[in-house]
Amino acid sequence: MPSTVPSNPLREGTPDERTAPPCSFVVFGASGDLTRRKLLPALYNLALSHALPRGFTTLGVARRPKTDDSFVEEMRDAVSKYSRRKPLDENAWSELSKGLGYVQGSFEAAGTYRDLKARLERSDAERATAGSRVFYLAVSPADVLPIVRGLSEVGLLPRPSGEPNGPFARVVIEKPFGEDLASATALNRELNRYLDESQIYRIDHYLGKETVQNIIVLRFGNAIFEALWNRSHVSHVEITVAEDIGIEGRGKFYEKVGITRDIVQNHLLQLLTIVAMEPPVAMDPDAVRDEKVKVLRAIRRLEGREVLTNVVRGQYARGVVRGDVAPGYRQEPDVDPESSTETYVAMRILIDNWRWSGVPFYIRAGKRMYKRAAEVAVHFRSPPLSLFGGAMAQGRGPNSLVMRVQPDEGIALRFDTKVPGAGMGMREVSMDFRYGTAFGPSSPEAYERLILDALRGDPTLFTRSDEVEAQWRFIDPIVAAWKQMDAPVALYEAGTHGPREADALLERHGYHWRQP
Amino acid sequence: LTSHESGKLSEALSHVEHELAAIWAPDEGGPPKARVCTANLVVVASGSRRAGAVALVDQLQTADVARTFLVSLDPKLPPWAMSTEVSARCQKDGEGLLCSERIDLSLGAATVPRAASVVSSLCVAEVPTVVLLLEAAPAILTAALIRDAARLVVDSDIIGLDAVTALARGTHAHIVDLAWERLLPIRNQIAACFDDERLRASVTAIRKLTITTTTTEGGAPAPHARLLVGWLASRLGWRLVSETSAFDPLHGAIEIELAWVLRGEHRPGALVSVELEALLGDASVHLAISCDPASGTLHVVRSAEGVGVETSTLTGAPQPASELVDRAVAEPLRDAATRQALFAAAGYPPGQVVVPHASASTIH
Repeated sequence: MPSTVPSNPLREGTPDERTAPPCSFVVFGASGDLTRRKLLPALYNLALSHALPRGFTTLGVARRPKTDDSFVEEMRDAVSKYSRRKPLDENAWSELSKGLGYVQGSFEAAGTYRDLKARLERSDAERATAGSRVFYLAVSPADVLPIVRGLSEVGLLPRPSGEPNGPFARVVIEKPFGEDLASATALNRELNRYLDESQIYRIDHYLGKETVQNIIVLRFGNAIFEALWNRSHVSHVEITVAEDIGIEGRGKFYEKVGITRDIVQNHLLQLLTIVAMEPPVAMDPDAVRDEKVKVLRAIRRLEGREVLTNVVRGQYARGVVRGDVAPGYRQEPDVDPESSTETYVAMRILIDNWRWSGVPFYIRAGKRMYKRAAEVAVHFRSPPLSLFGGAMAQGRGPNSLVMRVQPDEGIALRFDTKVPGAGMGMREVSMDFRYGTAFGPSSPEAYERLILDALRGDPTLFTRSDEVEAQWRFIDPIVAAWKQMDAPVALYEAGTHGPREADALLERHGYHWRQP
Repeated sequence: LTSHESGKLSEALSHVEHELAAIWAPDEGGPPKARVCTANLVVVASGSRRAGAVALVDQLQTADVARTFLVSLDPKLPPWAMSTEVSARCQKDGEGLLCSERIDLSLGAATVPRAASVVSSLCVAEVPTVVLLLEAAPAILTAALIRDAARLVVDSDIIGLDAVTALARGTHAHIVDLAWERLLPIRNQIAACFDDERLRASVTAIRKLTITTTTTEGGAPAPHARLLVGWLASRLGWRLVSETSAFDPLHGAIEIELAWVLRGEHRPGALVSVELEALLGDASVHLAISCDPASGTLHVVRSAEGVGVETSTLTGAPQPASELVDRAVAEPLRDAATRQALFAAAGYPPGQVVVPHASASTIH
């Protein structure tokens, strides 16, 4: 029901203050790589941008024994090494480190949570953190529920009071969120025993990337693109997330998961929803996420034999990547020498809605590819009449809009232009916008944006429970079909563009993969 | 970095263009260079304040990606001479360099009327031009520079509120007043008092406003107090009747009290507290914000019938000028209320003699 309360006239023209309210930030898994490489550098950069309140407190929780001092020293080294802004600003670090502390304990032990509670209450009293907390679970999926339960049992997860400026308790959960629909649904159900949905922030760091958010701005902040953004003008869409690295010693994990569950279920489907969604009625959390869920529900499910014709799974074999010989997946440590786990997947997806009916979305993700690249390419239909056909048209492709997510972040619009000279020869050229040249090389990291949003209570860029479940609902039958039909795994040489079977997936319909 | 001094402006201009071209000439064996430029930033300062301006521009260049001009008057130069310096600041970006250019123009007295022509011919096309006036500059220079500007950044704490509104009336450029930006935390707290839907209607029923500042030279109302009164008047439809009263067509008279405390170590006219009372029917709202001018800390107490008492302390350091300017240059223009607030503030207290002044203090 629309609100009848008039808007606040004093807010008119007031810029959105993107600073966090007084609170504490607790990282479970404080000894892990994510904390050192991403979380603490992100907090430091937020401090440097004056986005954190004075008195802001950060507590690390992990099993390893450490003192406050040794934790602070360790984090200082991590920030010095991994912060995007260097050298370390002593004033900003000093302010941040005053509130930095460590609680040692097992995630299963009740004492850990009692100790944590005591530290947080001391912080409330000494540093005015107002009883508000954000708990960041940088832990393995198996630790999520025990931690939430432990926090709840000592009263650290009160349900929202409804007071606009009252204390809050929020929990940020890293991917993977479940390993299939059943486990994700069960996890949601269990979490809801202790938390309101509004307190759960399921993080997908892809959504924090400036370039991903800019897809929304490009589409809905400009009139010229959205008018063409439909089945009448778009022939097909490609979404690529390619990595040149392998599994980096995570053989055990990868054997269980594979790239479909590791990357496609979250990053690629999130990119797809942002490209395909309808304009939200407002930039508020539920309006945006409602539209994304509608896309996920409209994706035609692939089951049984359809999986074999519309999905290609591949696995890298020995090859050369960036000049160095790379082992095949089956030669990696902790990997079964006869493994059929996929390190590459390509899919042809159809979205059965008014806007996209009949427009294929080709998505692919791969490890040990020839280069690292993530991008979305929207290919437009050819002109209805080829005025410059025949020999002149040779080598030309359709217009395309390429949104480069990483690296070399930017947007390119490709179109044909006349080659100077007496004839009417044409050549494809590109109008290229690069973030680096427009805004400088140091854009905020995705984690900065997402942590600040969690502190401020804005879940727009976090995944909602129904969204996660809809993603699994699409992925589960594909994984099941591979298993049931013993689907082939196409091998591709490391350092290449992927298996030939993936090329054939497009060639059958007259298209070719872009080479980013 | 290169420098040049010429008595003929077109020669000096050609020299600058030549130097800019040299910056971008391919450097055999060197890393590829790309220009980073989202705006032309024209900073105007007098010769006597040039050192401070140079320091500010140095800071701005670390954050802003603009072709930056520092335009200053240099009384030591021959009247028809213009001295130029061209440099580029580069940062590594992968294998290459991202660079933004800076052009320093020191003007002899007689070249001032033509300086804007030099600047405009050197501006990068297709990006907005932002003019930052660090102090009152000769009108002939200012008028020409702001003619094509998309944004004009000024500081009413330095050049005076009336000078700012006079400039605002003469341009369609968006005005960013740094003094107004400094008031943002307090404006936010006043607005936040009425974000609560239960109290929303009370915003139109403010009955009393008390603003306390440190004493000012000559006892004139402090610019920050005038800006706050102007903002509330423009947003809530008040007619400013006198220094001590305003009139709201719906709810009648509003009492305004400007109070003073001794300055001590603080600067003149620094905001010390803001209090307001609203009364809608039988329901009253009282908001008290006290400010520590040294630390920037705000202590906020809101009490409202049926809602209770809420207190909060917001800590924060005063923002340096470079950060405020950086925000003014880089962030989207959202503050549509600025112009209306400035004009309303210029009319407060009603009937005062408007004398634009340039009693510059230090840039802070």
